[in-house]
Amino acid sequence: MSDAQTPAADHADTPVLGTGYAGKARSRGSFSAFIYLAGPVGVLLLFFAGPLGILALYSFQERSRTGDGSWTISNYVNALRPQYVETALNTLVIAVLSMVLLLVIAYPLAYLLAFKVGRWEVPLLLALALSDELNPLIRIYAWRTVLGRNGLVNTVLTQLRLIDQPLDWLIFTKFAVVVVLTASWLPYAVIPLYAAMKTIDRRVLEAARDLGAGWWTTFRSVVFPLTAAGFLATIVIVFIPIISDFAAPALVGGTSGRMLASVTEDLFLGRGEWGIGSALTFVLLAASGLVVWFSYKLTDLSRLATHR
Amino acid sequence: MFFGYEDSFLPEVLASFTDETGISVETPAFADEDETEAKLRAGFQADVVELCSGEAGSMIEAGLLQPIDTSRIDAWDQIFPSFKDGEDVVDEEGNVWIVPLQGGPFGIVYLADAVDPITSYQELFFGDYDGDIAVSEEPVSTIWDMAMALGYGPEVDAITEEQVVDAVDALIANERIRTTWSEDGDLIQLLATGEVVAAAHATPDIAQALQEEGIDAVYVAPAEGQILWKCGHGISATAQNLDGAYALINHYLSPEVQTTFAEEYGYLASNAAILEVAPQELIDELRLDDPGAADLVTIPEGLPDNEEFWDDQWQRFAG
Amino acid sequence: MTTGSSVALGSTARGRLSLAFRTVFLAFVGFVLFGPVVILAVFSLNDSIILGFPFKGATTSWYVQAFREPNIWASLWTSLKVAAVVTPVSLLLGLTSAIALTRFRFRLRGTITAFVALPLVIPWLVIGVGSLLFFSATDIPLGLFTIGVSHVVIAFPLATALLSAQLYRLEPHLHEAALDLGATEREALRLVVLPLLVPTLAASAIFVFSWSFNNFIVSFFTAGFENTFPIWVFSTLRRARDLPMVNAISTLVSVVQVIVVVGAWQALRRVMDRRGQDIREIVIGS
Repeated sequence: MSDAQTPAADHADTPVLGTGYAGKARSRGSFSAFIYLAGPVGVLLLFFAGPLGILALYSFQERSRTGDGSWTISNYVNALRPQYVETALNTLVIAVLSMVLLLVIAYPLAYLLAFKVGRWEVPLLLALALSDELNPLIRIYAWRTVLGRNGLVNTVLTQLRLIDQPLDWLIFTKFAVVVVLTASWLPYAVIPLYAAMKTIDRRVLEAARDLGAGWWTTFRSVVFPLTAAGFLATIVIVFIPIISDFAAPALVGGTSGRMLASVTEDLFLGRGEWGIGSALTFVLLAASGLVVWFSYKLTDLSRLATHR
Repeated sequence: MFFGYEDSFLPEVLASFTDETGISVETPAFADEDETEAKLRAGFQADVVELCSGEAGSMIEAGLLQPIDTSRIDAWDQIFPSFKDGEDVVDEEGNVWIVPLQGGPFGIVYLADAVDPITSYQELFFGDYDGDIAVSEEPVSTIWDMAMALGYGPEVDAITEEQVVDAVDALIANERIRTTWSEDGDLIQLLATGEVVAAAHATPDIAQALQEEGIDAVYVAPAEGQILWKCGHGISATAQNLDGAYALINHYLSPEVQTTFAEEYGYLASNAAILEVAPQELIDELRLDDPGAADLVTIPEGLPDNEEFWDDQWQRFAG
Repeated sequence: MTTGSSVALGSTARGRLSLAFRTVFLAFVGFVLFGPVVILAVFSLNDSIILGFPFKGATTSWYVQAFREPNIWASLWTSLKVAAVVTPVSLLLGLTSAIALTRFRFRLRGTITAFVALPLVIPWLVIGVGSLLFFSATDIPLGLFTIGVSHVVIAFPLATALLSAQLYRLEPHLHEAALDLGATEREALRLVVLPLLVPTLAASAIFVFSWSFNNFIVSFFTAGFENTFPIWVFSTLRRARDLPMVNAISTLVSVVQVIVVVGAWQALRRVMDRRGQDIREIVIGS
């Protein structure tokens, strides 16, 4: 068992970018690395750090729109006012629910893709990647025709006589936002999990079965520990886009599904409050950083736990 | 060089301009005034900028626009007075910032086969009928609508801060509001699919588009008053091709082009000369001869001076 | 890699049950992912401005209308131009950074790795607004360049992630052996490492192209005169009657993208089959 675990454990130490290899590489001076990195890091320093730096600057200024104001932390104080905190909690509830739903669907899907679908594996993977090609804005309108009062789901349920009145909570509720966000980010959640599953040696699963382990035991002591890294990657990759999505909440969320990104968008575009908008963004980033860190600790712990 | 809303770039209008003057027009579209302002502040080069009355104040203040020389606007004297009296069109010193071109009212649209006639915002929000409604996602618009339903206003600057708080409380307590609508296309879908039976701050064009689909939608001017929007062209402070800018504005102000816009979108026209060119039925249908619509209470569109307060309050409703 | 068909395993009653469960599950996921797309494609042929039931009758008029709208073609052309430049530039930056981060040991490696990954976790709205402020402060005029450079910022770290994962998986000995056999660093890269990376480069190209082509929010802030296709879609939705036309052209663009991607994938598969590699390795590498 420990033999099979070694490569995967290696992966688990690999952050989102796989860098665990360099230690084994021939050690070479910083100079060649510098040549390779000059372009990419240069571009990021100028066109990524520059913009973020300006936003950070604005978040500490009084009249930020023209950028000629005095230093202040009032934007952060503003960003932590009750109405924003309330929206932030709403966002967190929606994002966590979507995340859980995503993992509940993506995990078995990745497992099926990796081990159970045989020659359908590649076509299904391709389909997964392609499902993201439709213009996102237009796709949300389609969800309205599915979830709406006279939409597909209600029509089918009424026809089957399972309900007499159309279900009203299918749309313009938190439920709708969670459904649409889950559907939109499913491909991005499956890919890292699938990649992690693929590192599991099939023989390990067979061995577990031969030793009489049920599916839960197999999952808990074999599959999950070996895919912890993919689990973490999924959370990192998907959580931030989910909390920063504003099209879905606006079009299917009604007045109850409003999320922080809609507020930020409104602050930047609708109201020209770039200072508060920037401050709110940095608060949001800090919060998501915490979530990612927490998930990291969690996956790490579970790995340690099974090492007993 | 012409920075405006997507719907202003009618290909035939731009093509006839290029035919006449030999000037080709670049048309970056924007989605709202704030984006325009952000881009212009960021040094974006444009000659002509589409502006709406009541929303251009901060751009004028920031020196992003230049005053318009009305002697170079051929039909300036033929523009209906009701179009000239809008906020930001002409300031106290007599500087002209916007050449008004089109306008139109905001009111209530409801589905006639689902509800009895709704005649006022008061009825829309508090009336005794079955069905949900949609309100605009623009904070000022929706708070204003509710404030009028509560008997405040009707001019936006006549609404006090306490009344704004009242209106937002009433919005929060209102169980009829199902969702906010963002664009015309969005609202049409909401009404057509029966998600809501009525909507606030909608335009006659929405009712008309639904009627063309065989849906019995009706536009009403609310008893409290219908808000009249007016949009037109301004000239950027850094305009490079001033002659071209004036030529383009004159082209858009010509009765022929104004007729095209009236036909295409049902907009009211600012140039009285349209009455000589447009077909009579169009004049009757849109009441082009009377853009002030004397028998209706008409309120100029505008933004409150304390817009930040309104926006803050709005957060309580849509948070 | 085992490619044997395990679907056929279900010989017992329990196996049949789990097979049925699997099928239902996959069908459900398929509906969630493709149901909306199919519905929209159907409504793009519906003779009504309403995207909803009932179906009023078939028409191709939305497509005809879309073909007559010059702004669509101008914006599609802009998006295509941007994506055509952004893709190779991002691949180059992604490749050099991936090589540096996986093949060299140097101080700050961890820090730089995190820095390169950072754009992947910053909301695009923030990058868009920040870029607008930055271009404004530095007097860089908004235009194709500013759209392109912001797309590169958000897209090349994705290529870095895909490529470095693949580099990590590649047998290091190959590279080392080449060096031991007297190849220069450059030759080892060009003759040994790069050819092995071709499939991942191709996959990265597909993802980067799609990100650039479909990006709305960053382009929205950094665009000048030229509208990209997603910006055109957004600003056209304002118009009351144009939703079905936007739907029609979006459907068409998606179909073309799907054809291009499937075509590229097929070509890639042929290359890999010839090499005896398994196509799934590209995705596993991610």
